[in-house]
Amino acid sequence: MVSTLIILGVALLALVFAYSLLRGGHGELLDEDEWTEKNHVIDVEIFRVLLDRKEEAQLRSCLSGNQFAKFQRRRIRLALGMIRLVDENAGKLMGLGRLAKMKGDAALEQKVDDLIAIAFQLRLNLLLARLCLYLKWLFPSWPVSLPAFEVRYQHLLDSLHTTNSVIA
Amino acid sequence: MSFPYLVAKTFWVLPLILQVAIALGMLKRKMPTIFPIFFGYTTFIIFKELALMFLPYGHRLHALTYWGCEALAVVLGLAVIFEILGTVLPPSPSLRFVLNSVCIFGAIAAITALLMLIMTKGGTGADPIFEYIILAERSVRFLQVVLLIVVIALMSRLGLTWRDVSVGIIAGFGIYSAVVLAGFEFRAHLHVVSDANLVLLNSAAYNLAAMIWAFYILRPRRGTLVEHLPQANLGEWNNAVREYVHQWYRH
Repeated sequence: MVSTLIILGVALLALVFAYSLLRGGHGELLDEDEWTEKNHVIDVEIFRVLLDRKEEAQLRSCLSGNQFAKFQRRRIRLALGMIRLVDENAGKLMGLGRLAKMKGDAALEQKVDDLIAIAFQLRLNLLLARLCLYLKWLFPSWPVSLPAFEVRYQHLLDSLHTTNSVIA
Repeated sequence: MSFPYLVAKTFWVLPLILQVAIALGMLKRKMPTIFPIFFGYTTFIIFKELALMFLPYGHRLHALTYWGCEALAVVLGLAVIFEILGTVLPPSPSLRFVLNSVCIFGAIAAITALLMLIMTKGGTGADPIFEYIILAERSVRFLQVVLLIVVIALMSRLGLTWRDVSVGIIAGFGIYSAVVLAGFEFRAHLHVVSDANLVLLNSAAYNLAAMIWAFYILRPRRGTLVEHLPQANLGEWNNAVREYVHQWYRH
């Protein structure tokens, strides 16, 4: 019975995913002008301030426990909102990049590949950040610390590339 | 001519016509160089159906050809998933871990599928060999569906939109494999679907997949209006977010 539930669950999930893939991307951009109109202008420095540990420590020392939790949750909600907008920007840029790739210009294609690679890394990091921020929202006083699977792997790759470039 | 017979014939002929059109459309648009395995899969299915048309139904050779081709089609279907992943991922060494992660997921799904096959009490029906074949195909379809879920999740993170051909190919496989997997479970394990209905369900799902592929391959393309990439501070954002991720995740 368990295997039946797993199999039917997996089949249903695949159907939902496939459907959402076909339905997705209706807010995509078609040219650069649309990007200028529709991109979200967000300052990375504000994001840094919202998540700054020193600011957090200062707030903790100035405010009562309840006040701190309330204020911290508001900061986290803002940070999460910024993450959502950055994620949308990255998605739109990737879509625009894929359109540019259809032009068949080799130099542009290289730029698009670089853009997609960095946007994809950013979106993965945003996923990890989002997970931590949800936890921080639930427990505002908890200094979040989670096991790093992907981060460790990324470090390993980074060090490998550095070693390769040194050898070359 | 009865209605079920007409439905069965339509379900058999329609994807054959669509796949000939897909193969020709791909050749016209020089797509076999971009999706060689999917092109191979499409032409293989066409030749399989043509071969089965000329082999006498009910003979051993017909059955052997059918099941042999079915196994090869499943393998090609799995290869198409990796081909699409290779096409949509930019050739960046830092993203190689994505491919490795998909392989790990695939390995876990393959082990689960194998365990499902071993642990299920098969071969108890009227035709034990047929029962085992259905259970084996259910396991392989499970592997395929798990891989498709992982790849679709990745594709949505890669900013692919419904216009991309890769999206159509994967969505077609996703819908077909999911319906077939559910069908096999209802037939082989729960015994609530008859063999005739299972065949009909598989055909209907395959028709839907072929329609999706045909739509994506044959629809007219618009010229791109994007000449340059806009300036964006993604690198700066990536560095900022990565700093926090490193701060929050233990090393």
